Amino acid sequence: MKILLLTWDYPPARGGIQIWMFELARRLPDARVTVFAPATTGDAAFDAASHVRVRRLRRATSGLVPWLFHLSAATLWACSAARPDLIVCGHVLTVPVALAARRLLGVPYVVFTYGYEIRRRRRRQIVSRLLRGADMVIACSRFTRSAVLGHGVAPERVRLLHPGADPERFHPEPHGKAGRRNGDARTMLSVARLTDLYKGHDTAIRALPLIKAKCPDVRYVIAGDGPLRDYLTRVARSVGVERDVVFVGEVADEDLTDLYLSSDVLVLLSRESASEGGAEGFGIVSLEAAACGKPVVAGRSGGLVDSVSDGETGILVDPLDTGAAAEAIVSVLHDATLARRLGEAGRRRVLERFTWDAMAAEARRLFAEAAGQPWTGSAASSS
Amino acid sequence: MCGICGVLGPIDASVLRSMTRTMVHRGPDDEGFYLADGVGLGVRRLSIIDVAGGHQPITNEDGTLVVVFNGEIYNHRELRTRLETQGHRFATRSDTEVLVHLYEEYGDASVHLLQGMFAYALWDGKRRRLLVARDRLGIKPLYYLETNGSFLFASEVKALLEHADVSAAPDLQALDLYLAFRYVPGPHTLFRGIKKLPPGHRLVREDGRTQVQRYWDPVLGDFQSAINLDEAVEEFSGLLRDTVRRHLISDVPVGMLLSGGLDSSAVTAMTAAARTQPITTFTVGFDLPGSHNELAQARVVAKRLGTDHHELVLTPDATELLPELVRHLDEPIADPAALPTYLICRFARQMVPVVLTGEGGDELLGGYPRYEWFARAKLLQRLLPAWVREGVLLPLSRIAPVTRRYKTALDNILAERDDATRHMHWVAGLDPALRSDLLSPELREAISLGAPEAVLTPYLGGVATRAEIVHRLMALDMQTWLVDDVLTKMDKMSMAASVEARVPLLDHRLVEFVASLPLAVKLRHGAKTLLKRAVAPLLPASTIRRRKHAFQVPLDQWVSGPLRDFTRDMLLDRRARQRGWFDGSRVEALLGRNGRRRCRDGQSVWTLLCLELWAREFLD
Repeated sequence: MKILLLTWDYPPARGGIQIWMFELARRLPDARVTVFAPATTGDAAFDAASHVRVRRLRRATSGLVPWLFHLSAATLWACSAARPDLIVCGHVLTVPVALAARRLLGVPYVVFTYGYEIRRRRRRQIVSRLLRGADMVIACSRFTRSAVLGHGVAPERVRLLHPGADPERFHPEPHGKAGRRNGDARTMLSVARLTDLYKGHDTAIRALPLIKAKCPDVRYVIAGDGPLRDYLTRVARSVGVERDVVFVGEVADEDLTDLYLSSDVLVLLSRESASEGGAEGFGIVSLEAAACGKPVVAGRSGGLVDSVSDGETGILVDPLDTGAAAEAIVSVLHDATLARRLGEAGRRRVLERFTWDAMAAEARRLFAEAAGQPWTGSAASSS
Repeated sequence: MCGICGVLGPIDASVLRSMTRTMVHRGPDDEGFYLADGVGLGVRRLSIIDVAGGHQPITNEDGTLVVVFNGEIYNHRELRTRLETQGHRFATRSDTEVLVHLYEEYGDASVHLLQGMFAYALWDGKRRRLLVARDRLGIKPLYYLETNGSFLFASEVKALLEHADVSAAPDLQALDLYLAFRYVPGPHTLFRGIKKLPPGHRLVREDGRTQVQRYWDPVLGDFQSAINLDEAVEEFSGLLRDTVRRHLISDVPVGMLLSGGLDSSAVTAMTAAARTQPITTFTVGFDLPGSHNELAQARVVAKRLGTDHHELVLTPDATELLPELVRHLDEPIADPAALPTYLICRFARQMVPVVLTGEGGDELLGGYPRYEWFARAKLLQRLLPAWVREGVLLPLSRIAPVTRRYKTALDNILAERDDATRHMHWVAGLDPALRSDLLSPELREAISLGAPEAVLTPYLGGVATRAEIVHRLMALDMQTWLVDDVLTKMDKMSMAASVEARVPLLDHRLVEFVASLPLAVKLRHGAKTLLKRAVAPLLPASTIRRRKHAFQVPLDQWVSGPLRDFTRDMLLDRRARQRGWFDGSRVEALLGRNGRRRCRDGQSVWTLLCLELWAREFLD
């Protein structure tokens, strides 16, 4: 099987989609996968170490639109030189390119969908057309699937594919011994870019005075950075918890496991918001925390209902209800048995259902279906 | 809705009773007291929720916590459900009881869970500790003072003045603030020693020490940078719909004050959409020459929404009403809108004990054009040298063929002024020059001039972007004008008529959402587009399109016409002169100017008149 993966989101850039695309590309060794991704600083070193065939398109530095033109030219050229069996669009914004390849050269395409990008009101009609033209639309959660169906895509062409987490890297005892926690202080942790309000950091901060009332030594560690940091700082000050919120900025990949292990609970109170269609498509960080054996308190919204099993691996609450959030977080912080039970079940669930290998196996099946041919390994030709 | 008061310190039942009974109008239905060693709490109650079982004060199971409460908790049912699952037992259905159990659960932090308008005091008998809290926006009032080791608080100043240790004396520094703003910005009051608890603050009194702490503050700024107008409208509409629905919680009939303007029409439309049975609406119009009458506009809205509409046309006699208003206001608020507010509340009370109003729309959505003008003035100041503005443009603007209002505005934009002075020129009760002109030399000696400007300093100054300037001015208005004029007036005037007024546009979740929207969305196509778009399908197009209108009271005509003699009697007689606050000849000159047909200083005269009436009511 020859696959062309078109993605704007790819490491070393950070984020859930980026990780997913990388894991997808590297876990199909029996296919001939070529990734078309934007050029960025540090890409050469990353690609050299990753053993994935990546073509970096240089126009990315001048913005998305020039990059898309570059991508179109590169894709059509590649397709006419050696027709791939399938084009995989990592994001709806690369679909126009795939659509052109399909029209001109008859190459089928599948498109990955997440959340905000298909929920936005802006350019909604265009997105609908792009999705309806796909041979298969892959939704990362049940929530996203219903959003895709809302675009009028035929249900038989929509498939569910969850992302995963790496249980070796995210491990309760990564160095052969239990991870360290910082003294007696209780730590809530959020991991996300500080670009979107829907992530619900503000709700967690507003819940903090209530949590402190019952758990005075709690602190809230916010990992990730972005323009909302100023806003969140001011929200913290406005409700009198500026000393209890710790912004640690961007955390390097290699430090992430330690960060999870140093916390007591992952907090991800994402909400569904009309603003930019904001919603959590799935919430990979909740799997990473679970893989580290940490309980998750999450908003009952978007794809989080798939990534967190309420009462089993974490607690789902109304993401706009600070009281409910506080209560759930306190229950986990106060009850070590509960926290351990949720954490252990979380890791078990990741191992059973949410490894990247499981994701890749399912992706194989879906890609074969979309390409209209049985999966045929072509590992020999790809190396 | 209620009036509450209390004393920490020596207190006997009769004093507590007479304090409480000064607030009968706030709560005509019921009264209650709690008296123990060194602590007394009193409450007058207007029964809205759990009419039969909601008697106050309310205590916890073992009687160690006692609460008196004024306001409405709109999420009390959800809070109650959660508390019950946590094992708390409720004896009543009232929202007040929620406060006691929340305190048991979350202590002082419980205030973060309350959605609504409130001022309450909770006595923790075991710890001998009093917690007092006021809602985030300051919809419900709370005054307090410390005297001779005692601590006193109340919903109204009148209750405090019943206590033997409290006497009414003017705070001269606050008097200057009043003249500058035409209300007294908190935490100051015009009474020496008495303070207002600021909005979003709580107070703890323990071991003879008082600690005041902020627990909420609006965070304004361009934070949701990528949101577009459509998305903002969608989210805003959803929030507004939910908020209005919650504001309808009541065991007694709820009506609407409908002025015909956008804000009250929008709230009415959302209410009509939330209810199946017709709603009752009220409008008052003045039958006065020169007054702006909104009856017709209100009628159009009422007809479109199919409300049970009631209107009343009045020819108010201000000489008779004003002293009564000032007494109810506790402190003078020289906002003539108090008058129609009072009258419409009295009218509505004949049919309903609870009304929803459109108060706060301008403050929520940046509806005052002066925000933008201020930003433009700062831009001009940066771009053009002073000699161009003052030497060329300003003289030109003075001969331009525009109305006086525009000339004043242009003047304020073009003249070389610092930010505080410029802001003062826009909002002031008395023109800053006139203010210093009127004060008597003795008073000028006694106070530190510039206190009004100091109130503004934290919000002004520095070079900032347009968005920052506007947002800072909005924050300033929320902390001063909104709470100490608009909301205090609404509370006192509605309570004077024993009506509970609810202000859904100031729900804190709505405020938090709008505050974080970028200015480009907030003020796209002029202010209030969010609100217009949210209710456009429900209202007549003419209501959506209408331009903003000022209050209905023709002040200038009044002051030079029917009120002329009354004003002179009040401001120039011996009692007024003996106070020694003003330079008598200057006051006379001001009144002389206003005796002529085309009066220009109606607002200034009104400001002085309200002050004098206040002094007669409370000091003499």
